[in-house]
Amino acid sequence: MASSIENNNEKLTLKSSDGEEFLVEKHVALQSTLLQNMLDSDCSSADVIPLPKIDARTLALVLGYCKKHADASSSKQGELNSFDSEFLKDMDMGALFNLVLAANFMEIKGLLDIAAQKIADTIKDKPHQEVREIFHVENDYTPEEEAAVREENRWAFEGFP
Amino acid sequence: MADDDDDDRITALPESVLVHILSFLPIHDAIKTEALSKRWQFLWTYLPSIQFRQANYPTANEGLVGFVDNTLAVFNCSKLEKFGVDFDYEPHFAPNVNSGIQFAAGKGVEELFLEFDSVADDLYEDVRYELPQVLYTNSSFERLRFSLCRVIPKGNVVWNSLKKLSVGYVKLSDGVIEKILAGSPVLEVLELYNYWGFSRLDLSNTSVKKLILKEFWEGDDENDDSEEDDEDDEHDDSEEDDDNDSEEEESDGEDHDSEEEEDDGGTR
Repeated sequence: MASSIENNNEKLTLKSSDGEEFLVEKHVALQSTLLQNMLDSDCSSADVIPLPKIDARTLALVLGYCKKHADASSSKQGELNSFDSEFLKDMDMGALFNLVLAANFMEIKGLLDIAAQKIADTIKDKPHQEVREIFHVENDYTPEEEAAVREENRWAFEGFP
Repeated sequence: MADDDDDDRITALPESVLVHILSFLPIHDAIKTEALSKRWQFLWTYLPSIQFRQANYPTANEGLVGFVDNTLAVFNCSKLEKFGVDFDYEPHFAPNVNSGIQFAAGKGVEELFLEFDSVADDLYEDVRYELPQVLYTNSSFERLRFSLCRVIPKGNVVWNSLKKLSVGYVKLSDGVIEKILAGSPVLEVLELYNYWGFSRLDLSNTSVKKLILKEFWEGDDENDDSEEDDEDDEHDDSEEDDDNDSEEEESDGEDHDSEEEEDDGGTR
């Protein structure tokens, strides 16, 4: 039974928004500042920590990242770097947004950074119209408003019609 | 599912996450997002780090003026972590650089870099950018990097929080280097490259833990025809490569580690 897990058992249980439970070693959970603060403030006596905004698929990814970084924290940085770039490779945008939100909520800085970097790479060097299409951003400017906004920082748009 | 590919998921991200994403972009790409939709219009003005690098712009020089004159004025972030420019300097840009520095200092910037390039490496001393005096008394700076400019503090230097200083292609007189060291009580890393002008570097009574020296330029080679190499003497091995120049030293400062003066903060 989950309730038999003790405070000092070095494990805790996380529950995703869709009800799945994950048993996590404490040193892995400590990659998350949110969980670290909860443990520090003794909230860990709760049997299960609910994460109502994070679905099971995303949470599994997040915990995979945390485990790798927790276990490897003293090993080579190069290995972690290549893990990080593999980790996000081929990930679709939907999954990436879920991940960036989870990393932000759970305060996992390294994961937040690589996910944000990946999204930024998609924006970089593209005209804003193309960025708008890629992310399905709804344009609520009138053409006149948009032209006025662009005019204010004309130098930044140079070379981008 | 929320994963529907047609949803505008990026715009739904929290503002702090969006600004974080923008922080990974060159400044012009970040600014361009203002045209995406109204939600995006002012996001970039909250960026905590502003770096203008010429390499990113085909028409950089006008870009710099537009950037400083129009762009900085609308920044909303209350505390700036990093500010920097890196471009081909021409003397008429001095007022723009001054305003940029003033802006950054006003926002309590912690890291400042001013890297000036020049088509000719040996931009004459007297047309180089001279750091404004206001820059020498600032207790927010933690990391500073300057290159190809003039460093001539008229009064005391007060860099109470400065931990790392990197200076290159700069003439530093004995007096200047003394003022800098005296005014930087917590300086840990000092890096000098392609430097000249002083004869003594006394690190006792400082907190410097790491010293990096690269490419000391012997003699005063700018603007001075008394020391002669014929200029057309192409086969002469370019000065920078001379024997003693490319040493790199790192001292781990065993002795002055221990003798950091406790009362330094209050009683200078």
